[in-house]
Amino acid sequence: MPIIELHNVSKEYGRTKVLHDVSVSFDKGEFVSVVGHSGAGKSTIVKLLTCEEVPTRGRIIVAGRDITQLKPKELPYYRRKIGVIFQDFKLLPQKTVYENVAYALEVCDYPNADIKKRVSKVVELVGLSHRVHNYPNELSGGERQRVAIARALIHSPKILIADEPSGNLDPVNTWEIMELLYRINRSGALVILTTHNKTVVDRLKKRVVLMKGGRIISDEQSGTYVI
Amino acid sequence: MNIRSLYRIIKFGLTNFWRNRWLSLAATLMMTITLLIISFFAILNLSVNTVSQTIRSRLDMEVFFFDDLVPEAKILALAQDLKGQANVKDVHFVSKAEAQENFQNYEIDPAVIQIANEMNVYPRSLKIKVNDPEKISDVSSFIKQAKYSDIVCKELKCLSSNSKQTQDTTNTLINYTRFIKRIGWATGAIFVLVSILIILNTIKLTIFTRRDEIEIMKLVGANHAFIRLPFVIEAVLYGLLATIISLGTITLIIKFTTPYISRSLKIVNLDMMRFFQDHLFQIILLQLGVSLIISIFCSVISIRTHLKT
Repeated sequence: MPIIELHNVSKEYGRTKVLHDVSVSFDKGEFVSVVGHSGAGKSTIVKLLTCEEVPTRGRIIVAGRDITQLKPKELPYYRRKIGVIFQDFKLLPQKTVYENVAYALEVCDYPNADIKKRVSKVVELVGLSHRVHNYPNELSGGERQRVAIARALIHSPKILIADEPSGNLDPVNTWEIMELLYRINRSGALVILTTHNKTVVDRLKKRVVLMKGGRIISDEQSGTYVI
Repeated sequence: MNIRSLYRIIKFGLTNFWRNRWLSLAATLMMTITLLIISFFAILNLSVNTVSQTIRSRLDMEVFFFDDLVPEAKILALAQDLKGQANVKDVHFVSKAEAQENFQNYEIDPAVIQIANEMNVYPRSLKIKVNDPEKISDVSSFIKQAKYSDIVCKELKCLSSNSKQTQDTTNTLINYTRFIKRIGWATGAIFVLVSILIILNTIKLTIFTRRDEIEIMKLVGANHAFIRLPFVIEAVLYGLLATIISLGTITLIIKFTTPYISRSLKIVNLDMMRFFQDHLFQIILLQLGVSLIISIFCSVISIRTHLKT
């Protein structure tokens, strides 16, 4: 049963069309890799799903709700329901690892005791228990990405969107992050991974949606990255 | 918003203020300079006002009765009539004895005092305090009326050559204080406006440098109030700290300049320290009001731009 549906979605920036009538759906508990070269439209789809951008045409249904019709006041509540991992980590520089992860719960008005319990658990899951009091600039790229994953997981979201999470990482860190995403997916969450890393996609052996020039070229279950 | 969220917002504001301390320091110093400029002009205008009031209050009129034969009852009747005039605040009759007593208080050679006492030259007079020194000539015209010619005519004639000169001096003093007040308000207003623009720009820049943080907060699911209020609290802290620093600076400046000002303005005996203490509450209110209004207004305006995008 689809939890995310894109119906004839197009996105234009002035005269530049970056998405052409894209229609695709993602089911609960799936692990989908959205692949393609730079400029293929992968990040635009992520931005549309996180409501950073609004489609020029088309509808995006998430959990039965058309998110293109969300009012500004409803946006924070929607964003708290999905987990997003960004290529550039998007960590708050003036907050420690603990505070960065806890912030996602504080905005939802969770009690302190609950926050402490959840953050400790998720930080342990990503293997950063020894780094909780460090600031982002004191961490390596891989560690920063783990913090971003911990923050995305803190709400135990049903949907996890990872936008090129291995883009800034070395191969060892990349596999550790992929292993984490895989574990999250096994716990029942839909994971949408955008990447242009062929090795990663080929080894995952999961559904692959290939994009080119703002269009979906192929959509295969247990596919590989074919250029 | 509940107490827990409010507590978190305040905590974020305080933590951010400390963790961005160099940025906070720069903004606080800009705010301090703004407050110092505003306070300086406010104190200057208050002082000019006091000096001007003092000068104006000294612009009184005294009618002397050199002719001892004029009956006291007639003088008192004139005093009564004068009290009925709109521009007359108070009329005080100075008897010969009081005039003599007043004369003893002057630092004059005792020999002169002795001669004056022997000749009993002290004239009776009416000390007239006016409401508006600019209309002092109205009072003099009233006294010159035919009705009082038998008691004051001679004296006023004697003084008529000087009265024009006195009136000119009075007018000059009045015009001078009025001019200083106007210039003070005009330059003050310009400086205040420029300072407000500078502080608006400083807070805008402070928030602009952290626009990425605002973006991240939005993506994590923070609502607008949760993003905006810690920034407002930071700006309020700039204002509160700036108020304390500028008050301290003004106290020190006044403490060290009071002796110099007192020496320079002997005529009005303006004790700046006392003046500052008397108006302390007003100055604190002015500084707090200005700093809080500017900081809250500027931070809300600046962050709104980033929340919209």
